[in-house]
Amino acid sequence: MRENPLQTIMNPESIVFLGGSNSLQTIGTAQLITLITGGYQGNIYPIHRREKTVLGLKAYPSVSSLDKPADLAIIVIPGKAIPGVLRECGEAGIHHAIVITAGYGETGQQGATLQQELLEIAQKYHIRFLGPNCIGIVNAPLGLNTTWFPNKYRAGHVGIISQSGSYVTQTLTYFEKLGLGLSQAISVGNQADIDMVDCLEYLGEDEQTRAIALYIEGIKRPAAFLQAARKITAHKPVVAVYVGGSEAGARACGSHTASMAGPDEIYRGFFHQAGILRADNIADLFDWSLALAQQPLPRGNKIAIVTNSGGPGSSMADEANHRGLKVPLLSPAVQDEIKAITPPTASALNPVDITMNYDVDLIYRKLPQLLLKQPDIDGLLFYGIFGTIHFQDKIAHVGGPASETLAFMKQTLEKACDEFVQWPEKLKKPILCACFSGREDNAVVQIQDGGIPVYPTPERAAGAMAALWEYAKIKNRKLP
Amino acid sequence: MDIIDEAIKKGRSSLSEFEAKQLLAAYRIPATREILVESEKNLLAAAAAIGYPLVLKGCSADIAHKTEKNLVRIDIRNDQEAVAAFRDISAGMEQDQMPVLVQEMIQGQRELAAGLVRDARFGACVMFGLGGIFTEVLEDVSFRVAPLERLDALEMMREIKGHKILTAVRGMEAVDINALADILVNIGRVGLDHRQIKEIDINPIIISGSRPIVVDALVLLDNSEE
Repeated sequence: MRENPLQTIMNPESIVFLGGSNSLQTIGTAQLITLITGGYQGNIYPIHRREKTVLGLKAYPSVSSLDKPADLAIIVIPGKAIPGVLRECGEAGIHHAIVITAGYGETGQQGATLQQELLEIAQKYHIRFLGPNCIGIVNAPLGLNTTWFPNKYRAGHVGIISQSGSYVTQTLTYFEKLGLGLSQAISVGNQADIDMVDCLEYLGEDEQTRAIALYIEGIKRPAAFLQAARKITAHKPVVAVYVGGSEAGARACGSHTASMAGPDEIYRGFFHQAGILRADNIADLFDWSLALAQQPLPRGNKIAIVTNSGGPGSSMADEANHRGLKVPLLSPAVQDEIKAITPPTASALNPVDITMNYDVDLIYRKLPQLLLKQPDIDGLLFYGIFGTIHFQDKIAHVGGPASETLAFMKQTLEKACDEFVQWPEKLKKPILCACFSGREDNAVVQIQDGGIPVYPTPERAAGAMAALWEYAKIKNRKLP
Repeated sequence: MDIIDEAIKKGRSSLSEFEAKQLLAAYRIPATREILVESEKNLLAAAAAIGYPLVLKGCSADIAHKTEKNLVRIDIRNDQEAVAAFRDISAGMEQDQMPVLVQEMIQGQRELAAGLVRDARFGACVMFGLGGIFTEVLEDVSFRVAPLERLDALEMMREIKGHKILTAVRGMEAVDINALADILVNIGRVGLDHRQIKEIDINPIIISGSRPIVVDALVLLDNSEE
């Protein structure tokens, strides 16, 4: 089997960097700074014609002045100098590159000609490259980040391949807030050489990556894409947003078949064949990928809901029903078991609504365990996370021995949450939560860090649960 | 395939129904038994060979939508009706000597449709949906990109809203979905094998008992290239 060029591009032992300087006036410098400060352990060789050092690293006057070839060249220099540099890389024995610089195929015919020139040089020197017009890569376990966005992101199990650089850079802070951990992210740019199919095959094999999120504007090799995706989605979930645009226009249709073949109908069929879940928007793309990367798949579509408030529980149930899940009435026996442990104001139907109280043992331990142990319940949606942060002002206001109460509450909550985050693995069923508070709430932090996604609204949790079920069906699909 | 090459050589932009079904038959897609009759003197022999009840259709590559041009007569029960229908259709056709298709009449309450289209991005795509007038009225269709695997064919059948029509409804037999899957997979192969084919409409596919049978087909050709 031929080696995927991304194996080296994503895991280089050394990097030669073209386009960084000691001045922040160029974007290359900003990118070099994230590269240096991200925790990457390999060697970095900045190239600079005049400076002896760049950002504290020894600088080299040219690629050919390196003692031995680097694994990867990152190129952020003006376009007209790139052909020469690429040849120099080839002659120096560097066979992998990321071309960040823009101004190629995306700008029109002249740019397309320049892009073709790059490709021809690369082919002549056996160089495989990402880009041009991309923002680069992130490999979280290696601390390798070639983008210009900060290094404050979480390592995890979602892999991203994007035709927009923004979705692997500007989203990093969004992921942090959502509790989404990244394995590897690739901005593919114009896909002059390495394209989305190569990336898909690479992340399909990557063990850190448990779910793949795609942002697609156009598919270069549809047949190869379909073949690669089918193979991957049989064991690893892939979610995509496809902004294909509508090519409506005046297509003369001689047949009824053609008159009904709108772009959307064809895309729907294509993604179905590929086994890829199609998200309507960016929020869904990352919500679903997060759940798929971190939670076990449900065996069926019957979901229990636990809530400590009527509204959010109803919202979850409503959205679950819209998206093909079922929120079944619990059996009389189970209802009796619930009634025995809940306050008299609670509802034991489904949603199970314990109404506002702070019995953490009930909501985090007894109820999830009781419900998920039922053979006819396949997963749990959960609303009712309240960290002690919501009480500390009140307790401080009262003063006195109340501070001991806070310490006790914290301790009890931590213990309960610790146990809560283990249910999915122990009982092999998914739990997804919603909470209007984010990571400013200590309970949200503990549950997210423990591996259970917490979404900002009830509907988003229910939507992600539906995505788990949709993928479970894809994974199990076979001929009758 | 000769039928396609010859049609393109003659500058035609479609196959006749008779030719279209020969093409489909080469891919083991089951279609109506039928005989092309050039003149009235061959009519009754053809009718006897196929057997009543019959359907007669004006058959030319230039006539895409025959029903709209009133060139179809159905449920013909005997020789007398056959001759009357033949003369009627001949009179309605603009060119002289246009052949008439003598076709077995397939009985069945359920009509489905299938087809092929070439998408600018994804290439040959296969369509499946409800047939007859419902194809256009409800637009309840699904698409898959060729080549189709058997699983794709089965899934695209389930994807339409009206998929329950395939089951044993109202005392009718369940549709032989394996035979239907074969049809869809093979339409994809037709599209991949013959790049000169631009679009295909197969409508209706009538369900006779449990068996799907192609009753009408239209194949549009791309004769813009050499």
